[in-house]
Amino acid sequence: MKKILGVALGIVTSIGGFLDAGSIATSAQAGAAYGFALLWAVLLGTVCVIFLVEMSGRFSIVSRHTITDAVRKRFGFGAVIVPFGATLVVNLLVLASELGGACVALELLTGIRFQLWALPVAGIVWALLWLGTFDVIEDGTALLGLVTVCFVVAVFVLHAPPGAVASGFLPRAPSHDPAHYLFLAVSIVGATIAPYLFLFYSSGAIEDKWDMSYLLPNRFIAVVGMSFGATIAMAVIVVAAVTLNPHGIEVETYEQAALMLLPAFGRWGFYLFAASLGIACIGAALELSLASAYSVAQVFGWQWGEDLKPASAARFNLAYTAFIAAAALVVLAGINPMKVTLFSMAITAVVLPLTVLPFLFLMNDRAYMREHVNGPLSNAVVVITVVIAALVALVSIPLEIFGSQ
Amino acid sequence: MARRALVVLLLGLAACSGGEEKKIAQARSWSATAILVTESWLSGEVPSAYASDALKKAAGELAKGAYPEAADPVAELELAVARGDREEARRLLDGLAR
Repeated sequence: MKKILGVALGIVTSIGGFLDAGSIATSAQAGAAYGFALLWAVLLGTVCVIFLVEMSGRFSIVSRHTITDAVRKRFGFGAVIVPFGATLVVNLLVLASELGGACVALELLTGIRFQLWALPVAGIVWALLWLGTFDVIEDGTALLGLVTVCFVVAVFVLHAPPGAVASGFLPRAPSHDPAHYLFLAVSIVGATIAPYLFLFYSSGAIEDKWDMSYLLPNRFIAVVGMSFGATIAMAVIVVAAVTLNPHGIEVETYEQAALMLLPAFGRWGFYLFAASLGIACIGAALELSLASAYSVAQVFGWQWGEDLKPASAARFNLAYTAFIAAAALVVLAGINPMKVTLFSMAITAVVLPLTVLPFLFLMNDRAYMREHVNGPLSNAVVVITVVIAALVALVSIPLEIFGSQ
Repeated sequence: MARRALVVLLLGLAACSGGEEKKIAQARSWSATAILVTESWLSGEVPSAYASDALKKAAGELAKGAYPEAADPVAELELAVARGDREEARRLLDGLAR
């Protein structure tokens, strides 16, 4: 009974915790600019992230290691420092985009400029990490994140055309601006397969002391939770396609995106959007800060654990403190948070192979995985998706920068 | 050969992504944003502080874009919203929508 409840909670938290600044920004922009035409990118990213999340849980259950810890032990410190450093820089950008998203949500509600919210929001995230336990952070924010289900409700309220929506799952040539279309496609894939997500999941399995009896629940949580979570990201695309695209509004800022739920819910739509953005971003900021601190501690072999008292894991706590402070400085600089989000998601796609390929190597190593090594299908899906996304991102990022000059 | 093909592809994509067409689409987008924000404000769906900020941003973006002259009526709209002058906002909106 306890395990069933645990699985149910795992699925609910996967749904509530799926959406973050990256998913909201990329999906809103995709729906507004290209209608339903980029739904396939969410589907592709979701299939890949289901494999990766299932693998990261299975890896921790079978090997009793987190991914970062095992990569360091298997390949040595010298081999892990480059992918680790690149992922940490990307995580910092993504954290800045999450804090920025939460600040914009508060700006929408209060009219006070988002930069002025940078320090209070960073302070709240830090205090929750300092004072909270792993379960409170993981389950609490994700349960609040269920407010994002309002996007799915809006799809039905708005009577989105099913045929047109279904056609969006087949990739086809865009109606205009192919470079921007490719940039958005890789940003969506980057937002969906964020490395912090499966690094956090892997460390969480160790924190929650999952044993071999969790192999099946882990698979169930990965498939059902991620699928339902992705449905919300798809719903954002559909809502933006129905409400913003016909007006010719191309979402460049969250202020424009905030209009998307009005046709479905009237004035409540505005507040639901702000609440969804704020809660999703705070939840993701917590997970991201923890995932980054986990990685730092595991690379350097420090004591780590969110449930440990700060004095028992001082360097681990210092790591997320420094990380949050650095991200807050990026928000204070006043760069458009949506731009930071989109570029950090595209850069995520570039560095994905650095994190994923060593992990895949371990997933096929019988010394770690015994009889639970990967099958050819999961290897193929992940390698093909990640490598293609990285190559397309390498091409589309400069085009997006120079094309928008 | 492969490198040349890649350069041709990149140049082609860059040509498709850049230039006037993009600037015109952005100007249209910001004008449409200004109209939708004002309509939503007039029907009481969004708070005044948000509407005022969004219109100020729209005016700023329009001033930098393909039709800088479109920024003036949006800036006037922003002032009307900031004053809470619904009549003036409605009048300006009618002009903008036309």
